Amino acid sequence: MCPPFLFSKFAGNFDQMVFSSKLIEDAVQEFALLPGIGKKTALRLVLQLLKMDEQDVDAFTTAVGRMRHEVQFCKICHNVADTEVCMICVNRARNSTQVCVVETIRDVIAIESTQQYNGLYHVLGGILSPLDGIGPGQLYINTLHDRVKNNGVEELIMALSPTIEGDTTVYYIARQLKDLPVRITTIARGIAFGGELEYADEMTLARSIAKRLPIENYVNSAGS
Amino acid sequence: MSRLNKIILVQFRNYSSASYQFTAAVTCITGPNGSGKTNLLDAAYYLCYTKSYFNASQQNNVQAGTDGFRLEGTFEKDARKEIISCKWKQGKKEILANGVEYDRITDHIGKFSSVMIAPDDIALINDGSELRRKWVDSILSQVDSPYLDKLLRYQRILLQRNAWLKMQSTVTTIDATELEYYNNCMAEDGQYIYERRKQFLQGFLPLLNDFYHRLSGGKEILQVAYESDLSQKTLAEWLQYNLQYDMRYQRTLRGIHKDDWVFVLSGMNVKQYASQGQKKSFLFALKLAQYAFLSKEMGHLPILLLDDVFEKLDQQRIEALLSIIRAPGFGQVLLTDTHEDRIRLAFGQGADIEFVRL
Repeated sequence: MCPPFLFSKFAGNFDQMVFSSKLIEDAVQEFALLPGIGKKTALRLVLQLLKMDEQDVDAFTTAVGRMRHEVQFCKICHNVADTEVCMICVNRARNSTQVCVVETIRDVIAIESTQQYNGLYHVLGGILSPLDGIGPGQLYINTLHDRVKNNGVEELIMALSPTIEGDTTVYYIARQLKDLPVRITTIARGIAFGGELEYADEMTLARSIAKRLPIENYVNSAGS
Repeated sequence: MSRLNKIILVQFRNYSSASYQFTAAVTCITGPNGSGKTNLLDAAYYLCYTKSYFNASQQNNVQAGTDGFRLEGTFEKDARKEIISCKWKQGKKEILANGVEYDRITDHIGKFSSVMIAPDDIALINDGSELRRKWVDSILSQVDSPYLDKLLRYQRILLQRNAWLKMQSTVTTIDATELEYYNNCMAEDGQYIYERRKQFLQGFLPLLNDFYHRLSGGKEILQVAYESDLSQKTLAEWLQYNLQYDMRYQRTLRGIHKDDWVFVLSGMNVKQYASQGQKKSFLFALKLAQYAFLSKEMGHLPILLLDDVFEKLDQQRIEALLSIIRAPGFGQVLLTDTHEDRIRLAFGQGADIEFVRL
């Protein structure tokens, strides 16, 4: 049984943190604007910066400032880049007939980390969700259309989240490109790698059975 | 049969920290007004459905001045023990079964069931259609897990569709590709939900009639009419056909989110014409039929939670209700009352009943 003090009566009262320095207070306020950072964590980070050498802190702030000022978005795929076109798009060794469509830059990083994909990307900048005020006009769908039309793209791999909004976006893009000679595929959905069957939720399991793979595919992908 | 043997409440409503054991077939919770009788019943309900029967807002379940609560129940089902704990803290809910957290909270729904009868439930008959939809959904979600998934998806897409309809008033050219997708999904899920709701009545009506007759002693015929847009056209047709109206009103006017059920007693509309007593019997019959339906479909007996119902029933109905819940083969009953004597008297000598005094 858990003790009654498990949930502190005083939690959440740090709004009234008292600082003896306005400078510290300002820095804490700024850090607390970041996602996942509360007042207490912000204070911890600020105090850590205070302990560091001044040059190191300068290096830190310069890196953050330059990042914000100088980062560009690739004019082809909308990924982050230091130049007009990103390192992935200029890389001749990559397969330019294959384009993987993702929601955000984070997805590019995730897929790149697998080191299994050698094609190019297209970052949509979001997914269709009227509830959040996001329609096709807010996404890079037009530029995707142009790429497919003009750049010899043979396959689009839709790597969007398996949610209603993700599926709406897949449907939308497929409809927009239906007159172009491009093959559209989606990433597989099913049992997680190393996952145990009995712990898979029923929807995933049902889908995995419906979209089962021939044994050759299974052995190949498991062996690679 | 499933039963709740032990419950622990921490910072839940008026409880700082408390623990209760239930060992008899019937447990009567007594105490003065405001001592937390209903809260204890609701805690048992919460452990079955991970939400309160009374409060939609989770924050209201927290003891004043604190920021979270915890409930733990030791359930027994088919002689197997399972400890369910629900923890809620600052907007985050965690449900664990024997110490293992569920991937999806919906996986817990349908595992343990309970049926609550509370004084304000008459709203199920008197108020708007939303309560009746929620009530039917709560039953079907437990016996048919695709139903719950499809319902949640339908509701989410309905929100997106309505937001899309609103967005169109600000654009010059309308691109209906998204709408096409929403319509397809809604038509598919909506049609499934419609069929299940329709089918539900076939199994439910005989139970409802049976319990009403036992409670009222009468022989009236009860009918429940399921009213749905989908009985005239398929949802796919409605979404297509009604688009110009949907656009004008900026929301989806037809669909299973408008369904209603009309209760009819000997040809008259219960909501409009039935007496208070008839409504009360009707309500109890609805709830007991729900109990019987769930136990039949799920293969185990739910827990019956009676909140303060004896005070407001006349002698004849009390006896009828007691004969139902004391019949062999009925599941665990938790009930509340301000007067221990009244319950002792009603149940009589030799009943398997225990008292928890708050």
